[in-house]
Formats: sequence, C-alpha cells, structure tokens
Amino acid sequence: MSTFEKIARYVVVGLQGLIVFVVVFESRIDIPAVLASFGRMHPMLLHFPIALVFLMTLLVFAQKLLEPNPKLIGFLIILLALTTSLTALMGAFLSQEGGYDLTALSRHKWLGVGLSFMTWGLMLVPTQKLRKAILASACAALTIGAHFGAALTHGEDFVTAPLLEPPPKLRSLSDSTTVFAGVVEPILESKCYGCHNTSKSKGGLVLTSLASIGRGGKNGKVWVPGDAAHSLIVKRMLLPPEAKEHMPPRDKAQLSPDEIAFISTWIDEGANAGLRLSDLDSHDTLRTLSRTIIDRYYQQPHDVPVYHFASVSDELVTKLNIPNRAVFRIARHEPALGVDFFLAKSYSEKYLKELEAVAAQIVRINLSGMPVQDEELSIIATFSNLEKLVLNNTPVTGSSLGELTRLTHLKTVALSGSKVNVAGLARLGGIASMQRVFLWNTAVTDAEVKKLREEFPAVEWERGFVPDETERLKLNPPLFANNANVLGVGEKVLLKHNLPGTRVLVSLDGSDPDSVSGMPYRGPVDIPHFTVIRARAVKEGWLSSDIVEYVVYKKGLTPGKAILISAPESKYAGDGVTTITDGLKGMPDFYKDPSWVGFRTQPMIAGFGFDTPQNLSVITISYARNVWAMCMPPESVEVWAGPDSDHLKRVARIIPRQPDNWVSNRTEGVNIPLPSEPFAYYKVVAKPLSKLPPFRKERKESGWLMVDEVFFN
Amino acid sequence: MNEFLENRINVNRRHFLGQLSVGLGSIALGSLLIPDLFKDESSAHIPQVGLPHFAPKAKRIIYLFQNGAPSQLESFDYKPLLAKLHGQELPESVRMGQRLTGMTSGQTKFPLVGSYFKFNQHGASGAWISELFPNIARISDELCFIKTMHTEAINHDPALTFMQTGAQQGNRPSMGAWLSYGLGSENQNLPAFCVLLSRGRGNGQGVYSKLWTNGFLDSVHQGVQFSSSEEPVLYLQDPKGIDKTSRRKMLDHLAQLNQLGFETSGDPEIQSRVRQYEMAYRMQTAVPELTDVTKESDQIVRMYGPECLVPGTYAANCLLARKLSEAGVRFVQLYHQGWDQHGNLTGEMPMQAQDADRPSAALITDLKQRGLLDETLVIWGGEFGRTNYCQGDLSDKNYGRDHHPRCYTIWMAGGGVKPGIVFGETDEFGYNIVRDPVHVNDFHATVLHLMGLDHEKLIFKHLGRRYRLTDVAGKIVKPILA
Repeated sequence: MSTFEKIARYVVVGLQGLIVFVVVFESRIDIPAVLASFGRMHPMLLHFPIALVFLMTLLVFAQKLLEPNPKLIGFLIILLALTTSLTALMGAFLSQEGGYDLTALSRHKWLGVGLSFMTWGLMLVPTQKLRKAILASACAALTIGAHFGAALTHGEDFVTAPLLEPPPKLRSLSDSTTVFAGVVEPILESKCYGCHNTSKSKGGLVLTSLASIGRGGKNGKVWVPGDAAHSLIVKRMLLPPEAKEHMPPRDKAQLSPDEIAFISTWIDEGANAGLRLSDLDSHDTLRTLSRTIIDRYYQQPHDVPVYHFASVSDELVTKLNIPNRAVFRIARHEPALGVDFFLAKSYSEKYLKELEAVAAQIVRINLSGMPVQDEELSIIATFSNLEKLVLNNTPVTGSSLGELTRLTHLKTVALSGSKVNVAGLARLGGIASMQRVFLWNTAVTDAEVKKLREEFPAVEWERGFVPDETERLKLNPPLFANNANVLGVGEKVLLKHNLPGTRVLVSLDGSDPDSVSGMPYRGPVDIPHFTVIRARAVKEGWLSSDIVEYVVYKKGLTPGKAILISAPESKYAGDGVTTITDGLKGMPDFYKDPSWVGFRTQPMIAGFGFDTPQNLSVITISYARNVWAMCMPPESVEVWAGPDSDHLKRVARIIPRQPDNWVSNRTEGVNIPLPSEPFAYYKVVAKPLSKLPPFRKERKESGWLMVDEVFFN
Repeated sequence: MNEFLENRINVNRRHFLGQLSVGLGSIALGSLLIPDLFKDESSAHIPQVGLPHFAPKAKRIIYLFQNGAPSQLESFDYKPLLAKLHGQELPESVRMGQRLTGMTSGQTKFPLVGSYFKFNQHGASGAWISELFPNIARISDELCFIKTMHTEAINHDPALTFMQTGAQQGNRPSMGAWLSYGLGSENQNLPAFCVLLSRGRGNGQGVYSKLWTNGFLDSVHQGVQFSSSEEPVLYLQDPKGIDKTSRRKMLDHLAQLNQLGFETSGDPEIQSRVRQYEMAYRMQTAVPELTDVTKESDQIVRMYGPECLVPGTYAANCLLARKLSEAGVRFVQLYHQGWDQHGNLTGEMPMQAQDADRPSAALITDLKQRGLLDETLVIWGGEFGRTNYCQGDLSDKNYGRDHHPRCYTIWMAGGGVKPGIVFGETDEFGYNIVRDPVHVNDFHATVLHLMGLDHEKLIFKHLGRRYRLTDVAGKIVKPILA
C-alpha cells in the first residue's frame, strides 16, 4: 500500500465522519462563510463521481474484455472515493442554505451520503464479487440521486416539460380581474417564480400565491401594506444590482422600472388584494402604469387576426389602390381586404378583373352605383372568402346570381335600387351562409318577398322603407329664388319649389294665399314697390305648406342729391345720408354696422332732390323690426314735396301699424303713397315710436327707428 | 427687422433640414433593408391610408350634432317626478352646491319643471321617448341611448370644443381629423372629413371652423365645410372657357412649381397643398354625382321629408351625409343649430324637433335598407344637457332651461353598437348620474374603438408632447358594444 493510498484512506474516513456530523447536526450548526462558498462548488464537483462511478462499473464488469491495469483500478477507486465524499460534504454544506423542496432534498441527501459510503466501501473490499455488487448499487443510487439533484436546481419537470402541454400563455382580463392577479402576478411569474415556487423556495419564500406570500420567508414578510419603503420585496429590488441581496440576482432577468414602480405604488396604496382593475379610474397612477405592463404580458386580443387565410404583399395592395378603386386591409394584422369602387363614369370590367390577384383575400366589396353587368358576377364568384357584396343601384338583373352559390362564406348581399328580379333571388337564398339580402327600391313585389321569406326563413329579406300611403306629410314652403331682395329695373320675383308637381299660391296684398284667394304662381311676378309676398305650396296627397313671407324691395330711382337734415343718434350715425341712398340693405340684427342710421330722441328728417321733377307713386322707408331690441316701425311718416327745398307742402302722411306681439325680427318697409304730381324735391319726416306697445314691460320708453334705405318708385 | 432676421434663420434651418431629409431619404431608398420606410416619396399624390389597429366594427361615422344642447328632459330622459314636483324648489340635497352658469346663478328660486310634452314607451326595448320625436321613436329598436353622458364644461363654446376635440381650449384636432389621420381616406376623390351646417328655428348658437380643425395634424385632415347653397362645394365647376384638359395642364405645371418650392423650403405643407389640388380636381367629377338632388325618388322625399330638396336644411344635410358616407367619406359632421332653449322652450323645441326628427330617423332607415348601417356609426346629441329647474319665468305654458353638464342623453346607432338598449341611469330629478356615467373622454375612446383604433395608441407628437384625442383619460364603454 503506497503512502498516497494510506493518506487517501485516512482523508476519506475523515470526510465520512464530517459528512455524518454535518448531516446529523444540520439544524444546530452554523456554516462559516468560507465553507458556504465551498459548498457552492457541489454542482461543479459532482460531475467527477458521476463519470468515475460509470467508468469503474465499465472497467470492473468488462474486465475480461478491456484487461485494465489493476493499479489503475486501485487509483481510480481512491479518486472516486475522494471526490464522492468531498462532493457529498459540499452538498451537505449547500443544503444548509435552504430554499429547496424538502422531500427532494432529503432524498438527494441520503442517496448522496449512501453513495459516498459505498465508494469508501469499494476502497475496503478487495473481492471482485463484492465490488460488482457495490458498483451496481452505486449506479442505481447515483442515477436516482442525480435525478433528485437535477430537480432541485432546474425544477421538477425540467426534462419532461417540453413533452408536456405548455401552460396557456394567453392571459385574459375581465371586469373582475384584480390588480394583483392582472398585473402583479404576471410580473412575479416571469421574474420571481423561478426561485420562489413550491418546489424551490429560496430563502424559504414562495411567491406563487397570496397565501404563501403572506407567510413570507426566512427574512420576514414580503411586504408591509401601505409602506413600500419598508417592504422587503421593494427594498431588495431597489438595491444596486451588484449587491448580494439584490433581487432578482443580477444574472437573472430584472424587473423594469415601471414594474418596480407599479409594485411599490400598489403596496403604498395598501396592497389591497381585492382591488379590481376596473375600480381604477383612468387618471389613477396604477392604471397608467399598468398599461405598458399589460401590453407586455398579455397577448392583445386584437393582435390575433380574425381571418386566417394567406396574406398578400403590401406592394400588391398599394398597386391595386387607385382613385376609382380603394383596396385596403381591414386592419393591420389582417390578411382580409375590403374593396370600394368610386366614380361610376370611369368604371369598366377591367377594374374588377384586376382583383383576381387578391381573389382569396377580398371579404367585402362595394360596387354601389357602378354599371356592373350580370356577367361580371362570375368574376366576383371567384372571390372565395367574400362575405359582403354591395350591388346597390347597379343595373344587375340577378340572372347570374346563381354564380354566387360557389361563395360559401357569403352572408350579405345588398341589391337595393338595382334592377334585380325575383328569379335569381332563390339561388341566393340557397347559399347556406346567407344571412341578409337587401331589396329596397327594387321591382320585387311584396308577394314575392313573402314567398322568399317562407322558403328561406333563415335569411332576412329586407324590404326597407315602404311609404305609408295614408300618411300625409306637410310640404315645405316655396323658396325665394332671386339673388337678392332688392329688385332692379325689369326684375321680377322668382319663386320655386324643388318637389316636382307642386303648385305655388301667392298673394301680394297680405291675405292668406289659399286655394280660394291665392293666385297660382305661373312665372315671375312683377311688383311695383316694396311688397311682402306671401306664398304657400300645395300638392295632391300632401298637406299644404305653411305660409311663407318674403320681403321684396324695388330699387326705383336714385335722387341726384340727398341730405340728412336731422342728426342720427351718435352711436348709430352710419355713413350719414349715404347709408340710406346707396341701395345697400343693412346687416340683419347688427345695427352698429354703417349700413344703418338710428333715431330715437328726434325724427329722421331727410331731403332728396331730383334733377328733373319726378312723378313718384310711392316712397318706401326700409327699417328694422326687432321688438326685443326696441327697434320698431316709425310712429308716423310725412312726405313734403315741392320744386325745391324752400317751397314744400305736405303731400302725404301715414301711421304704420305697430306689432301687437313678439313678432320675429326682420327688415321691412313702409310704403307712403303719393298723389300723382311731379316734384323735384321731397322731404321725409319719420318719427320714432314714442311709447313701446303695451305687451312690452318698458311700455313707457320710446322705440328706436333704425333705417337702412329709402326707395323712390 | 427682427422678424426678417428670424425668418432668415428659420428658412436656413428648415432648408438645412429639408436637404438633410432628402439626403437621408435617398440613402434609405437605395437600401434594401428598409425599402418602404420612405414610401411617401413615391406616392406623394395619394394621402397615405392608415389602417385600423384591429378589425373595426364601423368604417365610417355620421355625427348629427345637435348644437345648442337639446333638453334631455323633453326628449329621451323621462322624469315623471319633475311633473309631480312641478314648481317646487330644487332640493339642496340634489344640487349639492354644484356650480350654475352666470345666467341662472343670480336666480333666487330654482323651481323644478316637468316636461310639457308627453312621453311614451317605444319598441321592444321600451325606451321612453317624448311625443316631439315620433319618427325617432319608430326606429328606437335600432338605437342605443346613453343617458349618462357628462362633460366638464358649462358653456357652449368650451363644451362644443370638448365634445369635438377632447379639449376645451381649442386648436386640438377634431374627432374627424383624428380619424382621417388614423384611418386615411377611403375615397381618394373626396375629403375624408366633411362638415355640413344647418340652422333650425330655435335659439341658435354659433359654430366655428376651429371645431373641424386639423389642429397640429397635417392640413389634409382638416374638415371640409360644404356650403349651404345650391352649390355645396363652391367654385368646383371650371370657369367658362376652361376645359378639362387645360385645367389638367395647369395643375401639372402648378405641381411642378410647387415641387420647386418644396425643394427650396422643405415645407411639408406644400405637398399637402398639392394633394389638395389633386383631390379638388377629382372632386369635380365625384361631387356632382352626389349633390344632385333633382333625381331623388319620391320614396326618398317621403322618408327624409320634402325639405331634403332644399339645400342647407337639416333634412338635405342628412340626405347628403348618407350619400357622402356611402361614397366612403370617413367622417361626416353635421351641426344643427337652434337647440338653446333658455326661454320659450315650449315654443321653440317643437319646431327644432320637427326639423330634426324625421331626417334623423330617415338616415338610419336609409342606411339600413342599403345594408350599410352595420358599417356606419351614427351619433346624435348635443354638447351638454339642460337643467331640471326653470330659467326665467315659469308659467303653465312656458318655461326655459339652463345649461346642465352633469347629465345628458345622446344616442348612437349602427356599426358595432348594441341596438335597442338604454345605457346608464340618472336620478329621479334628472340632475345627477346614478349608474354608469360616460365621460366625454370615454365616449371618444369608445368611438375610436368602434373604428378599430386603440385610443391609447392613436398618438401624435407635437411640441415635445404626445397627444391623443382622449389625452390622458378615457375608458371604453364596453356594455354598449355589440
């Protein structure tokens, strides 16, 4: 026996003793740091016993074949015993660190200890038979022990995991999902479960359920509700990565800043396990932080395409997308395409044919208003995934609708306003996937639709709006068709109604234009001077329209010279006399505009001179009627006339009617009829209303007289 | 002098960046690794079509905005208790000191007032609808009423702006602009976002172009306002003496000049302008096809009412909206003015309702019978509600209602919305929300969701900050999704 062998034997005996000591008294001893790191070399050294046990077994059992040198066998046995004992001792130290599944650990431990005893035994027994027996049991112990060891480091199902069904990755959120389950758990699962699960609980900590989190680990509670700063989990995460206690260990995947922020905020807010995501309002910090985290751990339901057929390239889609034909994906991740046709004038079959390149991708096509012919439906019939076909207002008669029976996904066909007849429709009804067919405004009769409904009850045959013949609608009033309401020389009043077949009744004298007193409008109406035209529309089968009033002025003559003799109120001075003689109407309800002059404390007195005497029939003062703003018709108007401003006589005086009600605002006029006699100079005196009408609260106050124009006819 | 200097500095920087981007662009185009990164370069004339984030329920929206805020208490939110307590004081326990507008905060009394108009239940859903809306009542099984809309603004302008842009202050992109930005135009011959205005006979409130602005988005996303006249798009016809060919040539040369301008200044707005010219050219064909009302069938006139033939009326706008939408316009925005009944409610509201009732219902029916309702989302509603107490004098026959942002009713129909349901509940006084409140941001989030867009991902970065239609809020109202 060599000295080496002797020393080795003593060392092995010593190691066995140590192993027994450590294993027996494991709960009562403290491992010094040096030995702890010595223990951590267990996973490295254990490969020697594995290799050597199998090598020895091979050499011993196949001795005849290999004829190994006995000296080599002796050396290898010593080496095996040494490394095995050493490995077992290291393992014993390592197990002191804790955090392992206890059952697996104890099995691994005792098998390991057993193995080291067996290798020691190999050194002691020289007989071949015994060696074989020991080696056989060593192989068995090694295989089983190593399996438990591997389970400790890599997890229980490490080897079989790929064979097993992968756990469902798609998490889903609902209104009842709690913040913990929805956001905290996915973070823990991806970053912490690896070392803190039920089978491997480093530091005695299991994070896989709220209950086990509540129990905490060797170092205490995981979190203190309401106090993130003193919560272990947050403290550990916030340590610098190189710190020994930093979690997760620096070589493992780290939490992102938003995840740390989320967990600490949640703890700060009380780590409320019952708090639901839907309880958070959108401004909530947790809600804001959760968004990116949810994006990270949840497959978005809308990232999953609705359709699963092959996609075509974006280049092809872009190429087909031209001004009269829009071709587009229905959404970013979708292979399915929608197609719309525009500009009926530019349509030709060619544009439909070109779609054959994407025939399998089109799910929806809209050909509304295009001159599509029946034969072209055979092209559409190649769009194998088509679900919705819109042929509204096309000349399709439906003779080739049978072609579409090839489309097994077709659900909707819209034929409203088309030339379709009932013959082809039965073929549509026969398509198993068909849900709705739209037939508004077609020649298909009620009876035919009824029959279709009976024959194909699974399909909704939509008839759309059917006018109620008994319902009488009120017509809208006739429209005023002149460009402006001041007519020039020779201009007449134009009225119209857009609904064909409507008659218009008019009256020029303020009476109601009904079928008795109204004058039928047969063409442009001539008016001599300012007139309120009243009109109404009538048509058989309709209720007559409301009466509408249009205020129309006649431009007439323009005086050669004009002067405002009395001054308007300073706020409403306008452009002086120009305002009332420029032929321009005032802005409605905006009296500060220079198109108005306003009087209140004194009457408007204005003089108008003509180069030659004029035989005027009517002078019209155009004023604002706005009861709310106290703008009223003049109280009285006098007209003085003569050859010049110094020789005037009063030729007319009228008292206009005042509103007796809150009538609507408008600009209207008062006509002052004149005696038939030519004069070169006219003076107009219009007095503002001295007392507002009694229905106004301010009935003691005077009214305003706002004038925008004076007309001479 | 300073401005001049500043301009020079800007032009230099812009010029430099413009050159830089062209340089980078040509490098990228030469690269096989990212062949379509600068796709825009090759298709400058076609607005880039965005794609939904996920398969959408609705492809297009028609928003029937009832401007001025129609009273929910005389339309769709039936409160019999108010009739019972008619004339009695609004209890403080209901109001809870919540703010009022300057128009009624000075009132010494807040007498409750019940609806002057009768309510009845309609359809299989049993929705309560007032007698002012007989046609809407008839189609109530197509509608999804949300009774618990609420907003943060109490006056028209901010409330309207909030409803349309997701912010009260203005200058943010409007809903239609966001959708145009997110989804692009379906029909390259028409704007993706069209705006139609009409005015009823009630007390009106103004609308302003800031409501359909593109904000900080590219100007191609701006709403195009149609004229209320016989010619909805002004100056669309070629002037006398100009034929189609010379118009085409003119545009080609103009585009070349603009390209030179773009190469010098690098201003992307120049390219937007070129695209607008091109679209306007195609609109010359596309628009007359749509706006010609002379060939409308008798059925259409009976459905929408005879006013649909009078340009600029709500009925005509509803009909035009259907036609634009059918032609692929992504977002048609109507504003019907005149719903601001501070006083004379019993006088004005019937007239407003008469104008709005039949065409609104007809639009739903019309879309449905063409098989298009399932892909079109129709929204009907105002910017806030009206108070349950009387503003001004309360008489047996007349009263008024002030602005009330705490609850109001809107309805939606079509694309992806559950038909025939009433969502949310207000208290018996019609003052506060009891269950399922829907904030304006939630409404926007839901509408974007229906269009296949994730409201948290439809983002535009502007001046260093990322903007969304829902800004930093918004929850999808899932129970109303079909």
